[in-house]
Amino acid sequence: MGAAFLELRGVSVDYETSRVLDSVELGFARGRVTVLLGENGSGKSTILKVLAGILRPKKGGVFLEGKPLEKLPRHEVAQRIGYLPQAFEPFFPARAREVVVLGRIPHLRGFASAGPEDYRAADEALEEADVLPLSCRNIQQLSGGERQRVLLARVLAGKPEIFLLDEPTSNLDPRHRLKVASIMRRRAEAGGTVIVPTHELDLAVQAADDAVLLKSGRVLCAGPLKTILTPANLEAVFGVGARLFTGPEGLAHVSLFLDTQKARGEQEPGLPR
Amino acid sequence: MVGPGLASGRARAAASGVLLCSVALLVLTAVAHGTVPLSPSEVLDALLGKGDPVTAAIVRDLRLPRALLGVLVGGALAAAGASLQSLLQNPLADPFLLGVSGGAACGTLLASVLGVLGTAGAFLSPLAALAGALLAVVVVGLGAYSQGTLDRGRLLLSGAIVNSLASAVILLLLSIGSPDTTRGFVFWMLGSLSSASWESVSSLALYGGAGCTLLIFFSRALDAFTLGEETAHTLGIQVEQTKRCVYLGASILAAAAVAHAGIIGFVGLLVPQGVRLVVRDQRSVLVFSFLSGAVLLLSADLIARWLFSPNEISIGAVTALVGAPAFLYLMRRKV
Repeated sequence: MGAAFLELRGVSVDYETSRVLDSVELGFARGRVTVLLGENGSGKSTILKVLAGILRPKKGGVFLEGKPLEKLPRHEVAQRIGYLPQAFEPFFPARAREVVVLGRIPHLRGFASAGPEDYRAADEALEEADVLPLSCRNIQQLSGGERQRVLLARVLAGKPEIFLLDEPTSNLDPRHRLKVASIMRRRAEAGGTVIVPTHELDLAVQAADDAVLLKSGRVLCAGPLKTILTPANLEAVFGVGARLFTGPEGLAHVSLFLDTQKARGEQEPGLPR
Repeated sequence: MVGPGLASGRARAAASGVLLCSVALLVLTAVAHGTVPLSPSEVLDALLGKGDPVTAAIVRDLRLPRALLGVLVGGALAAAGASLQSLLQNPLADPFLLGVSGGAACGTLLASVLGVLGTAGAFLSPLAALAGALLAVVVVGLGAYSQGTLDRGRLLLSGAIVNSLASAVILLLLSIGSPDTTRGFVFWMLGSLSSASWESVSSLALYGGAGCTLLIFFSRALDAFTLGEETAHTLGIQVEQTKRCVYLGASILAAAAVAHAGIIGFVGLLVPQGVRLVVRDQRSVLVFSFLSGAVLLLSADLIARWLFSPNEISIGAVTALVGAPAFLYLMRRKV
């Protein structure tokens, strides 16, 4: 997956008595979108939390440019890594713009409040996430999808190099899914590292460069998407049959079948290389 | 609905000015009102050290310290509530409902009954109250801790249990005191500014200043808490340090207020709720809550003194009469 910029080395994580990540070794390069794929509870979100420094692994560690993450200054890590959680329930009323500008906290020094530059970054992020018209709305009253885009804008406003986005399209309508996919691609093309756990295989094949397949807290395989996303691997991870094809519009698609035999019957070998 | 908010610094300054004028006006009203009514010119003369010496003594030694104590108690309770609500991401968090005030009252009463306060009581009683408040925070936290996090529903239940426990300890302590001491303690416990003196004002200014400084220092961290503790961590916030320091700051404020004015509920619950409709960043929420808390408490004290004048009822009763129905409304709306 290219020269590793961000790495997990021998990471194991336990929740109470059960092991949720087991000796995970992964590297993430600059300029790449990587999707983490696996069943519910396979450890996708846990990997993201370890990379964000939220969870401390029981064994192993996270390395950014070869340096242990916990040895780097907190504000530097906060400026370089942006994290979007899977769910968020706001308990107090706040305008969308006020939430988005909180993404600038890592850039504020001393007791300084957010200034014009921070609000400019927030407005740019609101526009990019297509939520600028909602900037004066109470975040508590937004729909799940609108709130998800506002929170994505909060990450974008921080202008990080590494984007850890936990299922960023799970509540979105088709148009906004595509928009978010294009944001992810733009960030990668600008040299960013984008890591996205998702269940949306079409999003994966259309937006990602690399894929990591996870099964019960272990890495089944990882590498360039086209070599990883094969029917055999998808069957091994999800227990479903898969057919991968290129549509007439030139985009890659994945069809899934509960009946694995049916999928095998009309199988293409994988994505066009 | 989210309020229009005070986006510009000028709008905030204007709103702060209005609140400051309201506080000043209420202080003057509180000083003028009493069994010996005074005109504004008499109050002014007395404040400047002119006019009748008896009037000057009433104003400078009795009524002014009481009014200033009211400002500090209201401000301290509201600022403590605003910080606890942000820390716990719970609009129903309040020093009274979380058992902090009950713990502080126990600490004060215990130190008083044991006679450890001596002549420096005004400055030592907040420390005794703080010990009780921190003990209450620990017990409430232990009761509400579930699956690695503080359960929001359990937190209030745990606070109610600690409050019951505190009431039991207080009743026990009162039952072993002399009838005179007991009467004084009961009135203090229900919330009263009647024991105000320049010592109590100085003491509360000292402890309140320390608590507010700590909370202002962590205001940006509390802003990040609105996105959840995990996200706050990724924004570079020291989550555990913030929790400890905010609990400490809020406990100092609540404990010092309880040590000097007894248990006055609902100020810390209601004031920040209203303030959040116009300002959202924690630093402004703290400043506006402090000033609005002062306004609420001075008003409650005036009502407590005026309602059955010349007899005085407890301020805690006035704030509870307004606060309890409002709490019920908020609970139905938010939990």
